[in-house]
Amino acid sequence: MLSFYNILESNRYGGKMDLLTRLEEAILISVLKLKDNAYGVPINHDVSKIFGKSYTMGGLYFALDQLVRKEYLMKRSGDPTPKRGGRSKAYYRLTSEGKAALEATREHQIKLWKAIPELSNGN
Amino acid sequence: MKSTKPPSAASWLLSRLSGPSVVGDYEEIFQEMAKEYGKRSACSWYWSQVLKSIPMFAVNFVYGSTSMIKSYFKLAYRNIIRQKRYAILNIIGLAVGLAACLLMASYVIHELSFETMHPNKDRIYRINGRIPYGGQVLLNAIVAPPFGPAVEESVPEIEESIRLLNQHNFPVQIEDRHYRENLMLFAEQEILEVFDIPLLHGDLKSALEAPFTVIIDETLARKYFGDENPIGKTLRLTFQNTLEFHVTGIMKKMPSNTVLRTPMIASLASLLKTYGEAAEQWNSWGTVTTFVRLQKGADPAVVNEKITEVARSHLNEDEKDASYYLQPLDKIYINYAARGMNNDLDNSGDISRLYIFSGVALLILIIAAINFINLSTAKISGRLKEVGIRKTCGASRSHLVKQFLMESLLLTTIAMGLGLILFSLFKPRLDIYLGKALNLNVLSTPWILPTVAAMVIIVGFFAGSYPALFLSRFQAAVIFRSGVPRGPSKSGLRRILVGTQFFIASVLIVCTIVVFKQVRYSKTKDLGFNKDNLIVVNNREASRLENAPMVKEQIISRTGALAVSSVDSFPSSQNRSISTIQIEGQREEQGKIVQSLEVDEDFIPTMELNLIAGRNFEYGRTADKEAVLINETAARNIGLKDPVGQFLFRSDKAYRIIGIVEDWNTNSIHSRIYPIVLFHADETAGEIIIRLPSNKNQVVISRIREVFSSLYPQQIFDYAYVDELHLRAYEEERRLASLLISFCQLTVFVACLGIFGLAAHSTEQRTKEIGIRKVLGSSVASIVVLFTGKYLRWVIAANVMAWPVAYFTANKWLQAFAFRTAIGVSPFVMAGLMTLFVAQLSVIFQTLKVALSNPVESLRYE
Repeated sequence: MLSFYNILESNRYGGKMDLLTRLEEAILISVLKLKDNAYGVPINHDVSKIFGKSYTMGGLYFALDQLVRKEYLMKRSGDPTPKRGGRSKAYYRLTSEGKAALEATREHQIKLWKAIPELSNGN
Repeated sequence: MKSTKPPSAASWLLSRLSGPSVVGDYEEIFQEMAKEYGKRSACSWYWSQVLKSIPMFAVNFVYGSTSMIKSYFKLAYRNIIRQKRYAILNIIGLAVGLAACLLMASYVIHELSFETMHPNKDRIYRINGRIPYGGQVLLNAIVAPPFGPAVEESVPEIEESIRLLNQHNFPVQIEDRHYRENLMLFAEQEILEVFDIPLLHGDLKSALEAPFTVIIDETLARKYFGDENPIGKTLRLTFQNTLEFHVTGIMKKMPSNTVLRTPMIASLASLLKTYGEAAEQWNSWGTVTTFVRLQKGADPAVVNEKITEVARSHLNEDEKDASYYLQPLDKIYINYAARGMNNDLDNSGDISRLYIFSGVALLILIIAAINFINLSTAKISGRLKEVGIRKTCGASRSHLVKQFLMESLLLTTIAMGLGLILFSLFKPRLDIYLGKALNLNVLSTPWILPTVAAMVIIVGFFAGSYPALFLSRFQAAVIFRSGVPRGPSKSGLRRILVGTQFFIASVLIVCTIVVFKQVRYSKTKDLGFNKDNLIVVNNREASRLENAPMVKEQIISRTGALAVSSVDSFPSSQNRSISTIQIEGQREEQGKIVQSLEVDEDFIPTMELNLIAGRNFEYGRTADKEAVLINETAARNIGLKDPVGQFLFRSDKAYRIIGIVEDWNTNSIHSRIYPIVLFHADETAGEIIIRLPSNKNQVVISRIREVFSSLYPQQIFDYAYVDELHLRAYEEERRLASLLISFCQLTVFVACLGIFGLAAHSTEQRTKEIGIRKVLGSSVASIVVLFTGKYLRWVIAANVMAWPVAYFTANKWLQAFAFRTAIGVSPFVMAGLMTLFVAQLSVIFQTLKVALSNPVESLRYE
């Protein structure tokens, strides 16, 4: 049952590589950058800084869970700390698919911008 | 560091919506915020974050669990298929309940939606009068004709005034075709603009400006003229006189939820032209309904004072105590406060009837929901093993709760679909039945589908929550070790629920029987006169009294009618003239209000009234022109000890009382019998009452028609049966009764579905027990008694508890009638027997089937 379920899931998402949204891209980069400290609070902090507006946690977690579902991110629980009312942290790490997706998005971006070199160089 | 905690309610909400790590993240930020900006702003941040996040969490939940939801769906589907019979019972019960509830709701909503379509409804009011009269203050919905124009001119807050007058039950002639219409309005041109009545043809600005113009609605246009163009055609309408009107416009059919609904509007100018002088007269009682539209932001209370002042400046000295007030347009139909409005446009709205209908709708829904719970819980033990296995395989309690809720939601969704189909099948029939198109169309009303969806979810949750929470509680080990665990309320709750169903059903049955009894009572009640074989002929055109003896003579000699009497007008609830009378020594203001009739010598024999004292008017006695007869109620009320031979005064004229007539009732039995004084007809014979030799005697009627057309070729022969007029007064009650009866049948049907399902289940479970009992020598009869007895006990208990409630409710309803039937014992006995009978019927077949089967069959397994 369990294995059947897995096959079903991986068939659904494993085959094709979707382009990332801006928010997903920012989250993946932030997770990469934060390395071992990649959990909700600093990710939100990072992403909000990049976009210049504060994300509600709900919106952020929706994107995070989507990424986990697409298997671009892996989620594991850390140890509870007193500062958090005794609740554990959920740490995120990029999977190889995640890295590939990030790479693909970047290449796509470069390809796109090559069409107008004067603008992309001008920056 | 001082420990600060985020608001507990918010964090609880958050923990429900998401996982612990999320709550942790929130709390971490909260702590930092608290340190930096203080607890207060941290708290408000926390709350706003949680609330803003809710939609995203909800979306996330659905995304995240699509595959689980799919699996729940599949399981629910399989379970429903496996237990087809229960599923069908469940779905039918709920669908019928929901459809009935929607039908009731559409009626209630229709009644509450009156006047909502007028764009300026908040600024439109009707001018009503409070008229002191004979020691009472009478409410009156009409005012003097010059009232409207006068206040429009002198009260700045009043933007516009419209006068209108309604006419009931009148003949229409087009070329040589005859019709009879029930309702029309005479109104001023402004009605089209103020009430936003769209014209399909004709000029909106002037259609009702000129005298003798009329607009009709599309339905009437088709009826009268077929495909011809109706504009410019002529209608001959007969009221007091026959008048000719030219069609100047076609309007859309008016919606049924406005008191102004009418198929025909003629210009008020026609009446002003015909009765010019009367239209200029001021008096407190008045003749026309007057609506006003106020300026934006005007205060009606201030306007009340001003219009009363204007009226008083015109009224005679002795009428100056009348006062006037504005009644908001949307309060006219369902008049919450004021009862007994005189000359109202439409007084069929009744808030207590709406309470009854909403109550019944709610009860049916409750019964259907109870049914649903019952049938779902009945199957509990069959599902326990499944729960055990799921738990062993790692399902958490929440998974199981979701699964059961899913199942129940699936069932309710199917039931709702079926319910909507039933609703749309039966809605047209209800419309025809009520004689109004209830403006609740499933497809065209935007809020109906969301409401229905909400109902599905609520009923599904409500009905599914009990099995969901009950079943998922057991531990797998317990389930497997001891087989079926004995829940605390294995069947007790179910029986209580069945009891509740029958309680409701029994209350409804008792009330319905009482309504039914009251309707039958009103039909068969001795009215004090013989209403059968009696017709009333409109004689307005030739109403001079001196013609009456000749007409009467012709009818008696040439048609075979038994008796003929001429009166000024036939007394009915719509048509009541009143007078004030005094007895000797009283001043005018001490007078009593009585209903007055002007009749000839043949009135009492024709109506078959009973004289209890004195004598009737007699031909040839000229003194009888100044004599009166009174009815019993009047004899009691006017304050004379021995009335016969004494004098009454009307407008300073003395009348000798020559006889007392037994009370008779031509009004609705909602109202008491009025004191009536019969004066001797002295001028007009507006109507002729004819007693036929046998019921609906068409031969005699056609002869009477010939007599009339030979005497008065101009006049349209226009007659009505008195018993039909009488029935029309109870139209609303009869409708209510038969509606209640059909909904009662539904309720009992749904309740029986429930008990049927339960009985089937319980006999199924106890098949072995029955087998063993039979082996040990028990008879079929004793098994049936054993099994049916426990349900019947509950049905009886439910009945006993229903009695006081039903008695109270029925009694309350009956208070609205002046003449009411006694409730008696029979409704209670009948309700008891009926519920017992149907309950027994639904249980007994199940039980008999098992009890008759060979024990070998049921015991072979072991």
